[in-house]
Amino acid sequence: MRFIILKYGIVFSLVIMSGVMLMDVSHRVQRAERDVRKVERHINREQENIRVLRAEWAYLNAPARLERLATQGLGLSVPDVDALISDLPSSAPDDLSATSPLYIETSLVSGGGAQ
Amino acid sequence: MFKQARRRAIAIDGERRVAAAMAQSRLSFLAAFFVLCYALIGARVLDLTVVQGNAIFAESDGDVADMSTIAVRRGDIYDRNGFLVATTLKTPSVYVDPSLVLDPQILANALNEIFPDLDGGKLLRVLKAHNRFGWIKRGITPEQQQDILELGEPGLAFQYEYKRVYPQGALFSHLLGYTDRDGLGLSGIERSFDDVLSEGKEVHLTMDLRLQHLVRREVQTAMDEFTANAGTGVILDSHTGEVLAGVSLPDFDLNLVHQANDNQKFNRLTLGVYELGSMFKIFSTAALLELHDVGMGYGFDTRKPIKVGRFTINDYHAQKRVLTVPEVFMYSSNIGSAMMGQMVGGEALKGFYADLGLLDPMKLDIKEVGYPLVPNPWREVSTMTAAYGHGLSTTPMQMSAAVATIVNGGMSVQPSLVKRDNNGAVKSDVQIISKKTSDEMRKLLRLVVTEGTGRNADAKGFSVGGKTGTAEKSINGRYQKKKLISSFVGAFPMDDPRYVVMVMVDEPHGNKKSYGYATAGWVAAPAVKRIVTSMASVLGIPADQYDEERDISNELLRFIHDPKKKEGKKLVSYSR
Repeated sequence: MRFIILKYGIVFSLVIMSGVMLMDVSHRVQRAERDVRKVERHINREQENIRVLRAEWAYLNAPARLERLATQGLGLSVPDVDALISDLPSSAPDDLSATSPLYIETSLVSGGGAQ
Repeated sequence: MFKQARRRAIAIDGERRVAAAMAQSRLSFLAAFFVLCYALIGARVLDLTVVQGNAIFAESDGDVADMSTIAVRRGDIYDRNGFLVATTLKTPSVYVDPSLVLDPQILANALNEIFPDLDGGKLLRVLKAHNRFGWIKRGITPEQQQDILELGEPGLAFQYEYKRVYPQGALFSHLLGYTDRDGLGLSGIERSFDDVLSEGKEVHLTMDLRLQHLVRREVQTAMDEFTANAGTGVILDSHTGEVLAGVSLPDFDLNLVHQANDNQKFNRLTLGVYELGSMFKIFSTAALLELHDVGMGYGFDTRKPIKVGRFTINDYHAQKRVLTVPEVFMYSSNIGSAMMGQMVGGEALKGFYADLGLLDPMKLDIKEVGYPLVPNPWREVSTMTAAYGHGLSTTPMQMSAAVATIVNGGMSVQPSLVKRDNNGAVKSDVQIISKKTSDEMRKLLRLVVTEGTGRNADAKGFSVGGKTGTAEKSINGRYQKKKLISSFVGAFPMDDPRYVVMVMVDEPHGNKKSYGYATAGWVAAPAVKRIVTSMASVLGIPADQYDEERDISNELLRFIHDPKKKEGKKLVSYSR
């Protein structure tokens, strides 16, 4: 008799214990899932923000805008090869095959102008 | 007896006791079961309210977007260097449930302050409507959304939608194209690559943002300078056929398509067909060199106009003497070219043009492709006029591709707007003209710029070659003397051209600086020169690779009556 009660008691407490443990685990799983969802949403939101920022970056770096800023703010201008050639010292030979700094100057002038 | 009875009683008593004990244990078992049930319920209540409560509450915090109803996000489009050209952003759209609106008039005023472009009367009608839904405005900015939230109006709500955004505005308008509100491509690459983009895949253009910008700038400058109606500009890689830049002006901001008119939306580069005039002399001359072994010194008597039936072929700036092949080309003599056409023959010339893809609509990555206008039937006079580009209309893009074929060594060029794979475009292996003819044509084209009608295109240090083309516009079948199409097609560096640059200006008007001329040599050639110098600095092409002593056109000088190079004087460059 006592043995039966003991047996039931043990089984019973095992059931309760495992129930509690199960609940705890499922609870933790739920919480983890929720955290994952939250992080995912966060990632989505940040990705969306990044997209917006990238679009804005592209907009702000549009060549037309940069050129306008460079001409107005920095006094740069679109390179003019004829002007560069006339700026060369008059002693410089006419043909450009000589070691002329033309290429360097051209790229310098254009640096700001055309992105 | 008694003993027996007592024993029975004990037995009964024992049975009773057992039964009672059994009942008791069952009872306690049941009780424990119920207690456990309640404990479970209690625990669950605790779990839902206290433990999870905050988390569930936090879940709805600030995030209202549910994108599950919206389809795949449309793929982004980049230029050849990976700069963003088109993207899709999640944007809020605001709608109203009129049954929840407290005071439509006040709300209408408040909304009008946030959206000044909305029509007040229309807004009020939407707010007063007897239904449960009405759009206020689709695709609003985050700031506007904040303003609306601050109104605190219960009848207003947001729905999130994808919206196509073009950060470069008008830069790529025609070739890139646009979509409708639901993300369906309606024109350009947005249309032709709709199936790829709607799957969320990226598309990379062959075009270079920076080159695109400078071509647009220079074509616009030429249009402003000569008060022209319209213009186009294109840069082609002459070997791969990649379109590095392609502009049709006037254009429109892709973000504001609904504000653009038909004139702005018309794609003149690939859809519009134009008589491009003397540029065709490139092809008739190439046909002559390819099909007949005439040699550069062959003479064409251009002293008298040619009369065919009621038709007279004249030179605009007649040299009144016998001209050699290079002279016919550099002075752009119509009479000489007509004679070349005659020598080549109608069928052969037509076949040659067809091989260059000038007589059929071209294959391109977009569907907006124009049908060339070809004389039908092709008479004897058609051969002569087609030799100098009269009576034949093509798209500027087609023309550039054909010129690329002529200068790149004779390989067929198929322009492309979208990059294939990462290996880059595949070179064509269809030979249209021989390497030898291509070499001769390079010299001739360079000569036009050093000595002939295209001198204003001579970007110092880059060995530009090219050909002018000035044509009278035909309106309702009548040629208008004052309405011109002035164009220039150039290539550089001429000893092995890598780039073909073409500019076309529609109805330019002469100005003081051009001595009243509105011809190609004055309008389009300087624009090409500016494009060449600007793109050289963008791409880092050195300007010191050119040697005047070794100019490829030098060996043609002996066929020329009076080379300007030797005289060293700068003459006014006129052109036809």
